[in-house]
Amino acid sequence: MSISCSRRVGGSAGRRVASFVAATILLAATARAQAAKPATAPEGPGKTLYVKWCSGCHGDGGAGDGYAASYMIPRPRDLTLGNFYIRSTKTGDVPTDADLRRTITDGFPGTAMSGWKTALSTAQIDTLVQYVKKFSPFFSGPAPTVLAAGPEPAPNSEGLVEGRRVYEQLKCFECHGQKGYGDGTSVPTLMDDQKMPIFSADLSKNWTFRGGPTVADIYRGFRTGLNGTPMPAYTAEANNVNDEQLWRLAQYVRSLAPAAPPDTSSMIHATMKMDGPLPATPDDKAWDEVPAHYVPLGGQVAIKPRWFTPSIDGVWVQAMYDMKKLALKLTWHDASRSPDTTFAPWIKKVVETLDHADPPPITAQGPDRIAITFPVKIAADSLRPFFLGGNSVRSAYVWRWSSSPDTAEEGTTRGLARFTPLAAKNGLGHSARYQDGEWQLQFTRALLPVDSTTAPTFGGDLPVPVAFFAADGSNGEIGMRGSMSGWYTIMIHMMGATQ
Amino acid sequence: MTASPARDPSSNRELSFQQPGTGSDPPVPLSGRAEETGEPRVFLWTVLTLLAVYASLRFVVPWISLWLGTSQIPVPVPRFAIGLYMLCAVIGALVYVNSDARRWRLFLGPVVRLFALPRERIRWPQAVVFGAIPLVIGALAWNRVMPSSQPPAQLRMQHPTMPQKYVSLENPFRKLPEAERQKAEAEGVILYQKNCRPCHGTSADGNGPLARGLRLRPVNFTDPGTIATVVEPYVFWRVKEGGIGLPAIGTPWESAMPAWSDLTDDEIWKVVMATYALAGKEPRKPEGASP
Repeated sequence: MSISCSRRVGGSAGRRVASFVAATILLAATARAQAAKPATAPEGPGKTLYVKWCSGCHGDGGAGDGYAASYMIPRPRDLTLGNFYIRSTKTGDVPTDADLRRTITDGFPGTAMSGWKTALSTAQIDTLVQYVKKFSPFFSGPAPTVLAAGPEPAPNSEGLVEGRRVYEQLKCFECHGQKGYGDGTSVPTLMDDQKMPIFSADLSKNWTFRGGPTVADIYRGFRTGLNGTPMPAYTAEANNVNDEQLWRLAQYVRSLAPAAPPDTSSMIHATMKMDGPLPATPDDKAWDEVPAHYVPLGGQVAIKPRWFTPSIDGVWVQAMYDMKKLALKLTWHDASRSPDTTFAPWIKKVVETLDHADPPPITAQGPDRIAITFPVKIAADSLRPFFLGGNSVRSAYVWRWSSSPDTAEEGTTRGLARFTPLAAKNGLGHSARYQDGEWQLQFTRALLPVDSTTAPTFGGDLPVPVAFFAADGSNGEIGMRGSMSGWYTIMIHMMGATQ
Repeated sequence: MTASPARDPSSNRELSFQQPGTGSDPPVPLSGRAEETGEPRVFLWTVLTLLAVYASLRFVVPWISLWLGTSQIPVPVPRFAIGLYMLCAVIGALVYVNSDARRWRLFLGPVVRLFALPRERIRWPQAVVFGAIPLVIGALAWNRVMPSSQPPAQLRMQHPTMPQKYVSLENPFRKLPEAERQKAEAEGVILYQKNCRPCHGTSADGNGPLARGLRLRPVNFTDPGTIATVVEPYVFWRVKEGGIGLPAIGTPWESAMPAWSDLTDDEIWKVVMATYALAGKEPRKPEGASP
């Protein structure tokens, strides 16, 4: 009895008195489970598969303490707790086999838990589904009850307005921010059940949602909560929302992201400004007509110190030019305008979590930073400098910006860490805005440099190679720690320039 | 008139040096429409014949090889050959219509009528042709000036030749007794999951959490075209020297692969062995090795 009714306390159910009693028993049960944690993987079919593929992160005993665990955020799940992101069952119940199968098959985007459908057969995945249940006593209870989902109401504009109202009623902004960019006020203290730091989801990027990208997935997340994370379940009794309102909220959240994940081609098309001068600030209306290209970023791991847990996973790039100048606008989401003292506890947790991080240690919170790498000379051959600001083989031309103090400068680099400000300055202009968890940054430079041996000419007949580096100071990203992209090309179509 | 080379006025085959209206045939009025005068519509038939020739080259001839059984699929006629045949057809048609004075005038009739603008109104064929001319020129100019949306060609050799000093190296752990080899492989798996996994993925499929940000995608080791096609010291070289150690043909400036100077040679050999094991692949045997 004690196990079966106190198995799981999910979300807001704990507010009720009965749940308080249950929670007490749960704590005891959890403590017992942890004390009795087996040092080796339990016997049974699937053990070989588990040891080969899963134990590196989840640990031999399933406690989420594998040898690779301290290299990742979010940390691997402690399987002994029976907590899973994807669950279609009612609060307090364990996930169904189908939920576990989906978890293993599709994995979670952006985490170390990749989908296993390429590496394992369906039969192997089914074996693992049964095997992982051995780690947790919670699975030994009666079969879980699948939550009955109400029908989704047809989407319409009134529904989105209602969804926004529910967003405010349920205080979603406390974690996800007013615009849903993952910048709520509680972000610096967000932790998972294992007291490890966890980012709040950026609702404008549904392709990164752990629970799945569709309206139905989002709705399921509201009904069941994302177990193990601060995302609770929402119920009629505790939160005064009915089923249709949760569907409306799901439709609203889905509407914050583009209809399809952005195209990831290597070309950034620049727009020619035919009337009037180029805008001076990134919030100028003229930018609204320029297509934005999404450049996904990954942790900077090419050079030491390597950084496996970046907070910036992409930047939108726009380019505009006239007969004299080129302007680039970068837009990215960042929960903090660094340095931000409220993020001190976050950095502390990050450093603790990554106890194997490369030296030097992170001692102070730095500013937010951007570095844009170009070749020194744009030539027809395909030779380029290394995308992280060149290296000792071939130097690069770099624009770099820092949020505090708000400065930008151009220089020659032999790697981003070896920056020499340019002597023949080309009047690099910049303008930065921070609002609602979003940075907007514009650079402007003349197409023709003062000295073409130290800086590239833009708008000749050749596309402009460009690579990006971004750092969030409040995530401990100082020096070479940050996110990076490979080489992209800006297509500047100078009419007649090719003739 | 007596100097005219057209000695036999009744012949249709003579070359026509005569002035219009001097032959035996009645002059064809340039302004009259063929259907009104009951004359054959030479221009229309010429154009239709040429179109038929083109259509047969483009759509009928490819099927001949199928009927003949020499091919399982229709074999298209090369565009260059179509061009040559069409040139011959056009020349033949011009020779034919030009071989008779009357036919030549009938042929030219619609062309002349098209360009001879009447004063009272513009007929629709004229409007279409004269309207299309600037459009065609504009389209040609646009095509010429409009830059193509292709990214610049980046030639990259995926497997450039490895430096000589690596060629004869051997993985010291492969030769160990099976139990010890497995122990080394297990140590390699740990090194892999710590250091390689973020990009190359937990399941060695090149799909780690950081892979999305890399323009040059991390190698998918389970792809039969990657580590399965190279000898083991090749992989050792790639791990030890990283992307930056590639020759220019391998575009080292695009690769985020670090040079793993913080791993010892023994550790690299273990990682290499583990990578093959995780991917379920065998290294290629060195040439000259016994099978």
